[in-house]
Amino acid sequence: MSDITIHGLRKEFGSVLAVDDVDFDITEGEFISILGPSGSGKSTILRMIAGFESPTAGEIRIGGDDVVGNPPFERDVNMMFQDLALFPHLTVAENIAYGLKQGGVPADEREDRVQEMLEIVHLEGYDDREPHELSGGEQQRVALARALVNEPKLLLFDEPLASLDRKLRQHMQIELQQIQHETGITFLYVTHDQEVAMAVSDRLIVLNDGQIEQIGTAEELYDEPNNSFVANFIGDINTLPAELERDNGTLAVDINDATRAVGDSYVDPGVRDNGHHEIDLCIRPDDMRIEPSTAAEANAIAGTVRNRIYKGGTTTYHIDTDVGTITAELGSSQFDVGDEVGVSWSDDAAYLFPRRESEA
Amino acid sequence: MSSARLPGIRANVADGFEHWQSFLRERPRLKIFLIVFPPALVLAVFFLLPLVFMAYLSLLEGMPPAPATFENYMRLVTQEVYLSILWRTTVITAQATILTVLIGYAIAYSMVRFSRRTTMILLLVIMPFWTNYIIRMYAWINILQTNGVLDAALLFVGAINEPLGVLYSHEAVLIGFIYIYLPLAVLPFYASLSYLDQDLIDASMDLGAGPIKTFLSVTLPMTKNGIMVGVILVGIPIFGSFITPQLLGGTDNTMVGMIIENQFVEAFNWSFGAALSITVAFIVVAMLVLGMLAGGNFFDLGGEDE
Repeated sequence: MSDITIHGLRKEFGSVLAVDDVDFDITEGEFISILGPSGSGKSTILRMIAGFESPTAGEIRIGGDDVVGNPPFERDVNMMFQDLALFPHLTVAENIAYGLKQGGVPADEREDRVQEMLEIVHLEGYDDREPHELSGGEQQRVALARALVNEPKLLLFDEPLASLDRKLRQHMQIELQQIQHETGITFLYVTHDQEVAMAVSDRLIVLNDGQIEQIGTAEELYDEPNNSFVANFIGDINTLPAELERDNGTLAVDINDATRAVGDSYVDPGVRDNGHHEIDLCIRPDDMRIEPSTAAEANAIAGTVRNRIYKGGTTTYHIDTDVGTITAELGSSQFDVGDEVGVSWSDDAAYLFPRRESEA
Repeated sequence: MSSARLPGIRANVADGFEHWQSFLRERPRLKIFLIVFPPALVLAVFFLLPLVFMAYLSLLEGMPPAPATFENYMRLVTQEVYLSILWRTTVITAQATILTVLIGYAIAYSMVRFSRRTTMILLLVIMPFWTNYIIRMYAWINILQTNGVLDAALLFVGAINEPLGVLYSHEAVLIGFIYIYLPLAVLPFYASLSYLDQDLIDASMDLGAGPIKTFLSVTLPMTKNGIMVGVILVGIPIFGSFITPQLLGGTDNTMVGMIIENQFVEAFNWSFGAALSITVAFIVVAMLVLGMLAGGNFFDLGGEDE
């Protein structure tokens, strides 16, 4: 039995379906992220768990009890808001003590726990400051302390790091992870930033159009995506529209009406068995090879180098081909803009997914 | 030919302007003086000067030139009738202000929190201003008088058996004040409540505070300054008003404003009227100072947000 169970969770806003029968479990002490583009319903899921929205259907079990119907102030869940929502009329210490005060914790114990929290978030001595006197990063820490101090069963994060600059964000995400290990509180983190989510989470839930596309560790999502959406969202990938043919039991893939790909080692989560004909052939840029020849061979496409971006350790090439622009990332920078080249891949580095209408 | 010379003139004007700008930039104190002086002059001529003249008048035996005296103020503090009128004025003002603020806050709160048609309701709140004050008072006379609209309605639904005849009573004056000054309370409350971020309410609930605790520890303190502004906008004019109590209150509900009007218009004792006015002004300023000391900032509707 999991510690937090979401079952058949659904939310309709009028005729708009924001969350579509979502199921997932969270284990105590886990750091789990919901990752999805804006409008995918991830914030709605969070607000339903916190109690700010009531689900159209479904269960939210926290420690065994279904909390649907309970108001936010009766749920053992706290949230770190996107805009932090610090109380501007209260000091840092008063902000942190707010939840304890509501919970009826006596004043001297409140004081001790506030001090303890200030230490954990490295804001010793900030007790009497007011929120507007603090920097963005310091405000984040106060908001985190205010939520942590109540030791909830589940701590929710609604993209609280989105407003920070890159450096500070990376710093805060490392700290978040450390604090989570220290306190052992279960974290549910919502973001559209895959970099943050992959860096901090034990597991990730990829959400799209209100539905879960895949749940897994960062490695699982990157190496074994279920579909082209996950493959695209977790890291970069080249997507080539293709048609699946089967000749004499060997797999052949037609790209642009010519058989360009052959092999039996293609990574295929069920395309062949399910009889899909129209598919997406997906290959990561760092699995692409570039050869000087333009000879048409199996698993290769001819093209022209449009530009190259030198990134220090690697070089990214954009190559124009008759099936669109292909991105390749190589360790060498031997090719120049305008070179006629052949782009190739090995069959075991390429994924076959059912074709999706691209959501540009 | 003038068109040929124009660019030159333009350049000269531009040059002069730039010169003037840099001249000012180097003299920040002159710049501030030029910005502050015109409004300060208007305030001095139209507000400060009359006040000083009024204070001067209150210290004379009659219309100037007349010998100086303190008699007007002595009359005010020694005759019980004036003190009791001042006291009654204070009580009515406090009652009307508190009721107006409570009702106004409730209206503003529901406008911000629950209504999708805020603009429409805001318009309804402001609309009474389009009708003349006196006409609205006569409308209330019609409603409140014995066998008026109110009595007829209450009799019709069977809530009462005898006409009430609310007109010419303390309650009638309160109703009139609340009606007239409600918009002045709703507007600042509305402004300050709409500055209040819904996330702060959510955060408070999330941290375990129920709706009432959230209202008392977040909503109310965050809109404190707006409430202060509403209290001032409503309380000060009520304290000095004379038409509403005169029309709705009858003889038992004399307020200090009526006495002042009487001294200037009928008794022609301008000096005593001036002494009363100065006293009223002094009481109002004293209350403002008390409000400031209690921690209000009347000039910032938006709570304490940066």
